[in-house]
Amino acid sequence: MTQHLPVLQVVIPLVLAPLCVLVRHPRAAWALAALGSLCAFGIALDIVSTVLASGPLSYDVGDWAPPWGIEYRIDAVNAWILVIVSLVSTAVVFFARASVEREVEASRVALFYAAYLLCLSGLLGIAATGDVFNVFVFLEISSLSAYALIALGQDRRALAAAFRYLIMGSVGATFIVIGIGLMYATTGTLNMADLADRLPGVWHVRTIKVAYGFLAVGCFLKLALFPLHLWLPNAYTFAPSAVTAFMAATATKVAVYMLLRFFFTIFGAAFSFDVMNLDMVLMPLAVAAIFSMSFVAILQTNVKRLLAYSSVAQIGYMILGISFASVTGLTAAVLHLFNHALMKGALFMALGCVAYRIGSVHIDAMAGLGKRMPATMAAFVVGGLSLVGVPLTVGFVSKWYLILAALERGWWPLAVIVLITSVMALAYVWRVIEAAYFREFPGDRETREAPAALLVPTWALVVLNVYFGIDATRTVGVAERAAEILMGAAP
Amino acid sequence: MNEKRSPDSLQPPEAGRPPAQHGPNSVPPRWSKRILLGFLGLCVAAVVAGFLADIHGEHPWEEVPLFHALYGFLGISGLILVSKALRRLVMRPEDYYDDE
Amino acid sequence: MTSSLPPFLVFFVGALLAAVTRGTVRKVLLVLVPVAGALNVWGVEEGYAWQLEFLGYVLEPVRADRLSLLFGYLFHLAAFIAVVYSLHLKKAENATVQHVAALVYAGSALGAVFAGDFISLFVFWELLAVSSAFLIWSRRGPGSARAGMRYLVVQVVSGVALLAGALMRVHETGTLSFGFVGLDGLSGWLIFLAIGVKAAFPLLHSWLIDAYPEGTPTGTVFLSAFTTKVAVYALARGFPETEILVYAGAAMACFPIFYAVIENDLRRTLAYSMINQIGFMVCGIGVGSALAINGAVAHAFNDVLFKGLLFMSMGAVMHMTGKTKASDLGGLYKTMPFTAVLCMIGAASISAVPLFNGFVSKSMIMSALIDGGYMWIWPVMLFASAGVVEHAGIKIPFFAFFAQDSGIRTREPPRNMLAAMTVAAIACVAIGVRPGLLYGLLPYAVDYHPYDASHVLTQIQLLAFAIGAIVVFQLLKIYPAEIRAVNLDADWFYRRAGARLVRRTGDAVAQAGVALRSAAAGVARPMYEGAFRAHGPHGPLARSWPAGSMVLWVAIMLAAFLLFQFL
Repeated sequence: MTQHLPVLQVVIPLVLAPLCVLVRHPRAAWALAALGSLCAFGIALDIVSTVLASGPLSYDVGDWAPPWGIEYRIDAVNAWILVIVSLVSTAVVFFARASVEREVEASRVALFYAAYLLCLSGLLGIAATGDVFNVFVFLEISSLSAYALIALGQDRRALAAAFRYLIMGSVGATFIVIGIGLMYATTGTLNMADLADRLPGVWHVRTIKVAYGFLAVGCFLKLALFPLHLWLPNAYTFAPSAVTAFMAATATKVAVYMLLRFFFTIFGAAFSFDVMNLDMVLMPLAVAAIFSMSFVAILQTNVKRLLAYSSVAQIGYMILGISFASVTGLTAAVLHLFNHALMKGALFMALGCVAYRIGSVHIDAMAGLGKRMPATMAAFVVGGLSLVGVPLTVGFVSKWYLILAALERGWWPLAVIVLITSVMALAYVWRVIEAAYFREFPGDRETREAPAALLVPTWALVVLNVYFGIDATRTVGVAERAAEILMGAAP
Repeated sequence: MNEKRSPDSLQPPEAGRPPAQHGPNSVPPRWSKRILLGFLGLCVAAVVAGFLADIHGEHPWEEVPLFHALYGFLGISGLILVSKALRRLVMRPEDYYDDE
Repeated sequence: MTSSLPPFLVFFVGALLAAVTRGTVRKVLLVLVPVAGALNVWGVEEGYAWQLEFLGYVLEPVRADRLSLLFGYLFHLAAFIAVVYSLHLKKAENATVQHVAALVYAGSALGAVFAGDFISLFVFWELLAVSSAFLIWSRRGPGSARAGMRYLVVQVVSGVALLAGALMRVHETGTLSFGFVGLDGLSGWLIFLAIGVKAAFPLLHSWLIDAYPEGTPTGTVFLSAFTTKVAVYALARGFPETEILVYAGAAMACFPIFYAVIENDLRRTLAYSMINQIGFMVCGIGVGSALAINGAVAHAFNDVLFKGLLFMSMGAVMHMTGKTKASDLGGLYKTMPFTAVLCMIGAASISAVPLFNGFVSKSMIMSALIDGGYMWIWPVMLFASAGVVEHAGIKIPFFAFFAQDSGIRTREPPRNMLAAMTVAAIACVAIGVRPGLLYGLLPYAVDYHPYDASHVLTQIQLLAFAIGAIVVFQLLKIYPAEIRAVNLDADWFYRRAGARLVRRTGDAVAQAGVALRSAAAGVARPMYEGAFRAHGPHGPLARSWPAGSMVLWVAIMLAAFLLFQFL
């Protein structure tokens, strides 16, 4: 049984998804989704402890040996991604029960959970597989279900946002499959380990460089790297609250993982940085993303949109970490994958609580909520402080490693940029705090605290924000291990 | 003691408002005279004592007789005059920043 | 003794409890917190430390030596006085917020002076900023909201500078420990700048003038005790004997006294006075000899007492009459005689009248200046100490309690306020009469005797004739009258010039946008639209554009990426 865990992780949600459609009953569908998430989370925890204790796992699907069969290969990097995705999914699924009942038509709730499970399965699949074509397949599964999830938003504009995301996502996926095709044409294999062996022999081939370009742009698009982020703000803004929390905390993270896998494991750090000068491409884009998107976030009046832009800026931090091309830089990036998932998950869920009670997440509508919904807004404040990077939260740990990496390379202006943009983050988080705590509540309506069904999952993530901000040894340990693997310093 | 006055070149900021409801000196004149006299006595005593006692200065300027008394008097005179001039430069109506 | 708790912990726990208690229970608790804290810190001895490991670095959230212990004792005394002073607060005055914020604030100040490394220092530094901002906001006026915000922004920026400097320092030296820093290299300057903001260095000072008078009557008493003193402590630890501090201190001691003469708001006058006093401390730290450092920290100790006393007396006036402007006040001695006497004790102390505490510490700094060979700075500081008499010694009590009768008839403030002021006044006199009480706590062994005939007499001459000049000017009716007005200060640069700059830049950008729009055609158009969507607040205008411009961006990226590789 235990040797099948790597594939069960992906298969369980995949099998539960059609069951959701069959049972039709909203609560039953929710129970299936919760079951799927919990199983995935449990398996992910088991896998990560195994991987950390005894090295990478390899699983041959259908007992077909690689490179002909599909291999699932899990090392510290993707074990970590599996934990992030399934952890957030579990928190969100418990949050979703009440939130989705409010925001999605009852007749579609079962379909919602089906799409949710498919999306989860797709994201886990991308992370778990050791086969590049399989990556594409799971990417399509997760993306198609994500479009459906976004389109379920109450706002009519959700449909348009989902459609645009569909176009852009398809372009991205197409680029990735073109890249994969070109690699296959040159090397004749789709297995990642096999590709990593064969590619150094064909570095000089122009096809490989073109493949690299297609894969890079495809990944940039999926992870919403500035300036290819334009699909993201609308998609996040108009999606149902639970979907926003789930997507913001997982989808772009998995895309960053794809980037890491393609460019570090498959092509190798040497090819990426010495031949393709990836750092010179990533760093300006990352800096532009951090600055321009933080600035845009300050100007937003819809808080969901504000956080969406903030996400693009935060992705900039991860990319900045990658562009340092060092173990410390990658540690910062991998660490921020997890930490950002925690903070944005908590923030979007807190916003979901607000939307549940007052039906709007406009900054003016949140006036005076500090008194009316103290637990919700307190969660938002802690999440916001974490986003800013205040000590004792996970945000600080991320920024700390990022700055260390910058100083290690002697690029102290980048360290200063990280600090300055933290103050910009403070500015946009502060706008919400100012509205919630320093403005009077418009007295014409009754507003109560959000129900415990929403608050408990939200606060679970908030507590993790603080817990891993204080005791960072475990997260930093895994991130360092992952960074060493990616740089090729460890198996 | 003194009437409300403002520097000549500046419009009094309270122009157009009713003047502040200030009464006469709060300390009765008899008392203020006694206080002034007592203070004058203190000044004289300080000077006399200064000559009697052995003042060993640490700074070369302290060799000047009654240096501290002169410095205090002139320093404050200068301070007040410069401040009055400063007012012309920096004083603005009370609601200067109100439209920010 | 290892059984002691970290000093800040007592206050943080107290703050938690204060948040959930009400009425008499909270009052008892509030008084108990500084008392318990004092008993706790009395058990802390030199060398007491509390370490933990974080991200591979050793942090020392608590590390005690004589310097931090002195500030530790001082902050407990200050917290006790200020807490008693604020006991009467009622719900309508935001009592819970004020009490909790005050305890967190005092605790953070303690945390900062016992912090052994830069990260802990940074944490407490920012906590100081945030908690103290609530003491300003609690006044709930529109002016307070904005002033509090400006205050917070400045303080947070100071914290960021501290962190930046600390990180660069870690990179240079490999240690986070907070010891002597010095001004070599960028990291030293960044840390210096961060502390300088909190210490209100010239041109970095305007947050203090701007914000302190906007605090609540009780809140400002807390504010006056902690933030700037933490900065003085940090300077004494990180930058002793840094010559630039002597000149910075001299500038700080001098320029505020001119402003103080013409300032109408008496609490703002005290804020200027505060910078003037910090100037003496900064100057002493710059000289750096044992005598000078002793003088600087002793003066910090005394300043907390007498400046607190003065702020308390003005707070009492404000609490009872709602006014703090000299032009609105006068003649209050008739109805607030105790307050008037206590205020005058504070005024005598800050003026360094012999037998009051200001004298025993300020004369140490003056002597140290001469010992250190700063012959041209000494007269400057002497002028500054004469100036103190003018604004803090005479102006504050005179215009509030005497001068022309404003016709205001009120009562003495609540008993707790009087009690707090009395404690501070007793401390002022006690240290003035028995300087050994304070000298015994100073970081270096003290061999200094303020009370010799020469010192005392020259000081009396200086003060008497300085007052004489004021009397003469008053009698001749050329003393500057109290006028309701705003005096421009360095904050003008960001409140006015900065705002104008932003507005103009905005206009210019808007005009450029119009020009660009009319010029845009062909390929430029979708790109411009994309940029507009990215930066402007979302508008329903360009709904059909984005998909196109997004794909365009993809194409551009791919092309750029490939070109980059093949050129």
